[in-house]
Amino acid sequence: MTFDEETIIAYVDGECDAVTARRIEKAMATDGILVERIAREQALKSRLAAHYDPVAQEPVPDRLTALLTASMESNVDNSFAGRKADEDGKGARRQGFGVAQWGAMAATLALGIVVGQFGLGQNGGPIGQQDGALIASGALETALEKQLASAQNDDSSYRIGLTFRSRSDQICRSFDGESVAGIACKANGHWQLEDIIPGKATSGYRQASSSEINARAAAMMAGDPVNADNERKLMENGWK
Amino acid sequence: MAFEQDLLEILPQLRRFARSLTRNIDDADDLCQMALERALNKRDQWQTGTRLDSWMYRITRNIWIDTVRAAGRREHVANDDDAMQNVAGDDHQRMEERMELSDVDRAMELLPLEQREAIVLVLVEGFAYKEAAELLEIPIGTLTSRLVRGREALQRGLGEAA
Repeated sequence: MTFDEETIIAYVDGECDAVTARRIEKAMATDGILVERIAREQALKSRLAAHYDPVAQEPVPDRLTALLTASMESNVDNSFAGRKADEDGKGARRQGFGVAQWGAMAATLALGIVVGQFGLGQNGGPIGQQDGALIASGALETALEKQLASAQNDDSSYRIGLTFRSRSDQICRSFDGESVAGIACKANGHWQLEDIIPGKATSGYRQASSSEINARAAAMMAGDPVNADNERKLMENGWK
Repeated sequence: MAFEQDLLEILPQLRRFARSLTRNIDDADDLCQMALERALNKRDQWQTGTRLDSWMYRITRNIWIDTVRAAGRREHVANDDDAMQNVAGDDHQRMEERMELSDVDRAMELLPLEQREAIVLVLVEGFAYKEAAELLEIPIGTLTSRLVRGREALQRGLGEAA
């Protein structure tokens, strides 16, 4: 009896029905060529498995696990915010935002609200302007410049999240505060605001959350976020 | 929470899948990252009770197909003459990368993407034919013919390399 290629590989892949499998096994007892064909397919399968399986044994890079753990943490925050919103009778549920949508929102809604609320260059406000770019100022600038994520100051209005080197080779830091949250990158002696969203105090507008900031940060990153030691060294070196 | 936890658990297999599609470590992890971001953003679309790994593999391959198309990247070469022209047209760095490839990588690279993904899902990731066909949204007959053609090409490629 001859078996076509499809039947042979179905047998090797464990996809044959019981009757066909029995027929093949019976034929193998007397058909050396059939045995060889099956052995060849099994060898191919083993070779591919041996080639790719070690990848699944490798440690997973931090940047990938960080994306998920950051999302876990921010979802805890969100559920709390969600409950609070429900208590307040607003009941607004968080929507899943893509990076592109989030970016577009950051550029319009967030800028309008945040800038409208605090005013450009307003004394002590978090946002200033330098050569047409939005930069951190006041307490936000101080936090970005002097605050380590590993040693957060409870008195500060801002919490620093991730510090990382961007693909365009700038040092960037994510931050979260009452009035504004986002990502800033050090350029020309200033912390240029790359992405901003309204902070916790403007909860009615807080549709994006730190998970989107983290997703955006992850997309900007070259490599992994820095650890506490390197964060300190970068600060001592003026965030270069 | 459970969603992220489940993603963490399948991440090693997802990296293996991405590596077999892209064959390059950095491209594979970038691909995983994009797939995770998309999954987190579209978590509402995942139906509880269905296989999360299948859903993630589908997202991953869709992003890869988009990436390949957007880059106008040459995904496979049809025969040895083409392969030679492809090498000749490559820059020096890419040629060096090519030389570092193992026999399996090289044989896989010569497969059209549609055969490669069928091979990987069944032979490496261990999906049943029915599951793999559903994931790729093709009839089982199409899947099996891609498996047959893909296997023949791999046997040829690896036989020559041996």
